[in-house]
Amino acid sequence: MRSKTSYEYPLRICSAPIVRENLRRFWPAPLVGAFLYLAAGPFMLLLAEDGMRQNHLRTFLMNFHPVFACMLVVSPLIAAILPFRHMHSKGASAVMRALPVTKGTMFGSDYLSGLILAFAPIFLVALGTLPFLEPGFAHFAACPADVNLYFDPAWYPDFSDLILWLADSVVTVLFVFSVAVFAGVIAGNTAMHLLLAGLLNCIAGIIFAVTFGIVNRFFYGFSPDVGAGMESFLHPLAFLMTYGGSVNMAFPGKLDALILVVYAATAIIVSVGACILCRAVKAERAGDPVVFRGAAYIVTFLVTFVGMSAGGFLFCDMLEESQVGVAPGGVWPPGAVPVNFYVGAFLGAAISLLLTTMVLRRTFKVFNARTLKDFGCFALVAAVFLTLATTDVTGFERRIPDAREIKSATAELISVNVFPYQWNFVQTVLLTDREDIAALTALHRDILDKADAYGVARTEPYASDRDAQLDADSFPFPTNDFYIQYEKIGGFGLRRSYTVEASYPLTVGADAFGRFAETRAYKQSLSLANMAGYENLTELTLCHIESQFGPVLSQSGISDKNGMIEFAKCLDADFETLDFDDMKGDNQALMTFLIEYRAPKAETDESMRGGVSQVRATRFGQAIAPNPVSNDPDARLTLLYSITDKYERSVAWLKERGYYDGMIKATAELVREAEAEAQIYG
Amino acid sequence: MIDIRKLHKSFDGVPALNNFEMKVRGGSIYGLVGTNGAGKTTVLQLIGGILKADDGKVLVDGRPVYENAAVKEKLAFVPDDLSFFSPYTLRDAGRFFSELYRDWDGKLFDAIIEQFQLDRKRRLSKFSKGMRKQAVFALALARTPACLILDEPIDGLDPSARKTVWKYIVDAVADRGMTTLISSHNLREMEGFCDSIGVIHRGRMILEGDLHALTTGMHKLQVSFGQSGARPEGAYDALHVMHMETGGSVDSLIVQNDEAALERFRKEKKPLICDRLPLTLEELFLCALGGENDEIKDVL
Repeated sequence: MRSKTSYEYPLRICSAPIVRENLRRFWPAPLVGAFLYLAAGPFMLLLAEDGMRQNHLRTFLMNFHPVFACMLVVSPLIAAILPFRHMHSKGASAVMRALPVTKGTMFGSDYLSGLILAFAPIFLVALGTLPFLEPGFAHFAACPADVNLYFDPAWYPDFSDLILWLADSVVTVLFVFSVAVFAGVIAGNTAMHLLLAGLLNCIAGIIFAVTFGIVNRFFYGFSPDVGAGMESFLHPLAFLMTYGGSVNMAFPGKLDALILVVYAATAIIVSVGACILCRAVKAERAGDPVVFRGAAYIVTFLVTFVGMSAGGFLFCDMLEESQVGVAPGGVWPPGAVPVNFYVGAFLGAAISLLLTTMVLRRTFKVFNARTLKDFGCFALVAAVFLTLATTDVTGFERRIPDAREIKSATAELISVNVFPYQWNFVQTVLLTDREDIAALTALHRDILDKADAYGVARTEPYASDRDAQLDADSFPFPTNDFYIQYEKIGGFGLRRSYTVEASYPLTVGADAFGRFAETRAYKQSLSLANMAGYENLTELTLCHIESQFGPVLSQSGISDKNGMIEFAKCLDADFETLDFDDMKGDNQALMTFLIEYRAPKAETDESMRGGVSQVRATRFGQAIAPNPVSNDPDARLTLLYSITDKYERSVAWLKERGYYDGMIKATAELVREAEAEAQIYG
Repeated sequence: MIDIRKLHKSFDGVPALNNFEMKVRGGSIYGLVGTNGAGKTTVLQLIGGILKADDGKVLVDGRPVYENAAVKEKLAFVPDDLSFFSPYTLRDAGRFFSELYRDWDGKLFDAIIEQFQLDRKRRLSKFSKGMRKQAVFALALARTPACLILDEPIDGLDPSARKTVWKYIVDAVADRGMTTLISSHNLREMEGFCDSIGVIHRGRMILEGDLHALTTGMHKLQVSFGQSGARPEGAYDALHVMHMETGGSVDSLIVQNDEAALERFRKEKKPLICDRLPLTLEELFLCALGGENDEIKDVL
């Protein structure tokens, strides 16, 4: 029986003959996709040695494999272009619009065809991968607690992992496809369809990155952590890349499903929007670059915005180092006039607006009053945006909450050169007491007051081209970082990040920092009890840190568990009694210990253990600041702890147990060796 | 069958049709003629439901066409631009349309293909322009539409193919009362087959009606009063002259008068020669456009 056409069903969303025809015409596209998938996936698994198969499987199922990752973009783009191509040619558009279907039905038919074309390779490769998986769905029940479990050699992927991969891939492809279809409805020709699909898929990320980049550069105190993880919520591909290639693995439990649902719902909303717009497209617009005049303005504005930002940043990076001494990518010092940025932004905006106008109007003759008017409108919007993004009209920089309004606060000190910890870059202090918090707000205000003289580029010492400074000669680092976070009573929190010169806490900021360092919260947070936990201590060895080759260990140390705990308690007790003068880094260390302890488990509250969050740890490198949480029961972390002659209880304990003389002797020996090395190696 | 009322359509602010009116009787062959850019294709695309009118109505059997799948099911539109069909073979295109149109006549399709001797397994992109027109005509006619809309379908066809196309059209009109709307520049051919004619100029219908009715009362005369300059003063005052050309001692006139008036002219003015010649569509078209400007001459 012959298929019935849509006129019998006015609300029919698609026409079977059109879907069938699209599939008949475009089947080679998914076939090529499936071939690439199968060649890169199951075929490689067949050829792989037994030991390697598991690794290959993990690579595929996390979309780490280049082919798998590329297919998530290329496949939906092609699937969105082919069925909708008829909209971009006058002749084809005339024939298709004369067919006995409504535009809504036509859209539905093309959309469904595209989805089938996009999904077919994914499901084919899923079927091809099935034989290589462990039967069962065990990993649904034992959802990994963190990403690292994916690298556990004992963990072999099963059917549940394939289903999770399918969910990730299907939702990602659906999202990219829907946005590309939306672009196709707006575009009037295939080339513009491709360009717009790329632009719209990236636009949320671009706007976020640009805004974030500008605010990060111009607002002293803006904390990059505010946006940590945000970028991954702007596009599923960004999410997959940020969280190790798997949406599901990143957020175990309920959140993963929620994110997938949000992305899928967004894709559906975008598709419905595309359908509504599609009904408004006029046939005579086929072949034009864009089919709506409003869309032309929006595209021009978006591209000009991107061009403006790129120009601004480019000029900053080219000129700022020589003019204001800020490393490329660094934050502007307080008070610096970012003329370079504005010059670059102006040139970038003008060039991108002209180029976009040329493309959209299909002529080089764009130097006219109309273009000038467009540029004027954009300049107005850009002026408002840049004013808000670069000028502190809201008092952001000077805002410090009253200590009475703060429920709790957290301060992270990075590479601050004070005793007792050496080379311990991140020290987290949790404050709940009103007086302690008042000391922190006083420090905060002092940093702001002295920002003009002591504020420097936050990222400067860690920028890639400054890696050379990370050698022994550069210790201590030339800057200190302060991350301050307030939790207000019944209100929003406030988070700030500052970079100051290394001398600040010991010189001009000594009063404010000293007051903070003498608080009870500071002492408690940085006690060994809190940093490592007495029960976790495994080894305490004497060492010397001034060597050219890093910490050099001695044979001396405390090996019995109870002794270690007793000594650690003495250290904490002494630390509690120190005033800031005793803690200053220019004091002479009596001896230094390498304290090894068991890493807290993943489920442990990381903010209270070691004080290093994962995000921060990656900034300083694993060797110096190892991952503080682990599922490996044998994982160990270390601290370098120096004592001075003010550690009276500790010294007395060492003397009483007979360690003291040996350790003093061993320390002297280590110093001699270090000096000899220095003479030999320069 | 087709009724267009007070239609307005513009492209980027440039009016293409202005207060356009048109009526096509069911079961007739209607010829739409006009100069280049007059708006013929726009009218056909509006009737085919491809374009949306800015204002006014386009009705087929009393129902609007635009976004009306039921009406479009009964229409077959053959565009001037056939690029859409390039990737198809006749077999594939036939299969697609047969699934889409309930009234698809496979036997008729086969018969037309056979008649034109077209290869159904060859891509249409490999066909010549004329063959492609034949193929698309076959695809349109096999839908057995109630209304066939053809945008310059016979231009580029050889005489034999044109004859075949017209044969199928006339047969469909005779057998099942198909309405045909056809635009062309070939006025002589239109004259031979069309029942009605519409002349469109700069987006307006300037002449429309039954071809026979339009030519009734209009005559083409060749008149001579002897040597050049012998024509008496006010020789043609008694006639309603639509158009006149003078070549030597002979005047060619198109007049709109009844038989009695012509007889009176003959008796009163006593011209040496007064021959009545058949009035062609070209001449009617020329008269309707009211002059002999170059634009109109190009069309003719």
